[in-house]
Amino acid sequence: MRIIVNGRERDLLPNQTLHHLIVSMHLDPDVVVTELNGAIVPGTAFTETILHDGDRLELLSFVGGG
Amino acid sequence: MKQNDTFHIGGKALTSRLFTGTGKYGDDTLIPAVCAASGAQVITVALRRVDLDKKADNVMRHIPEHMVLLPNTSGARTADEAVRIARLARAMGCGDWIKIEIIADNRYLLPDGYETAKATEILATEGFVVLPYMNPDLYVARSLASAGAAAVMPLGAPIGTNRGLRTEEMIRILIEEMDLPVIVDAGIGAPSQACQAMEMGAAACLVNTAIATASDPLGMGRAFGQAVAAGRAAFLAGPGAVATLARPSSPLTGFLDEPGGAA
Repeated sequence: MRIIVNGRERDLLPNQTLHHLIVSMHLDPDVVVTELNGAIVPGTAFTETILHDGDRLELLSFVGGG
Repeated sequence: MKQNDTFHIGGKALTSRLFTGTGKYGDDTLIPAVCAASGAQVITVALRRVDLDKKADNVMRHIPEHMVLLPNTSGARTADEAVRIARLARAMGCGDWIKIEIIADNRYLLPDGYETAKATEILATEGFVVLPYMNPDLYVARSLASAGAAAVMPLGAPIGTNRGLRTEEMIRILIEEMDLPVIVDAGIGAPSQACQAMEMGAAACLVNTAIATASDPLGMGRAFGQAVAAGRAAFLAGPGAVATLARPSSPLTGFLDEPGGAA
């Protein structure tokens, strides 16, 4: 199946969790915030959130700013 | 000087009136030392899409535990985008404080007062402590106050320019007319300018670029901390009146050899 991560298409095996995807991208789940199809997914729900074909995912994190 | 001159905002009592940022550091590992040297207690961060091509350092690692996080909504061009960023920042567990920054003008990065008031109203209703970045315009400040802002953050000069208090007279009017704390944000380039804002009665100053891009950010952070404290102390001490003609500090009577004086 195919999902969009930060505007880019990505192939994914079915029934993958958001947590698994984040870890497989070498990102730290503790410092990432996500929007799945426009809705915020809190970090506590990463392990129980299953991704589906066509999902649009935004992964964000804090950066330096003023 | 008044004892325990704390600054209350969003249910927190702050003893330092210097807010600082995390942008533009050549080396983010300097941030803890700058926080310590400057005494700042509030620090800003921004939220961005994760860059999937390169592994970026996590700025949060360098922010000391005791700091109050003030995420900004930079990158937002409309109220809706700012609200979205604020909610994401809160979902990340960094508290309820949010600096609204809504900018559609890329040349001078001037904030949009109308969209800022809209976002302020929505986020204040959702329980955020809203600190909006704004042009120092009295009417905008009033609309932000009625929208539920916890403070207003007028610019001294365009973001990152280090040009100082170019909007001094307008900021002076905000300080005089508004009941909310006035936090001068953007453009402050030197400690003397932060000191001047504090002498005028500003509640605090937010300084990022001037510290982060100094040759010695730690030394500059320390200087800003001292300048803000000095300006605040001067404000509390109540400056004397300004006059046009000279007013003698020493008596103009009893000169030596004065005719008719004492023998």
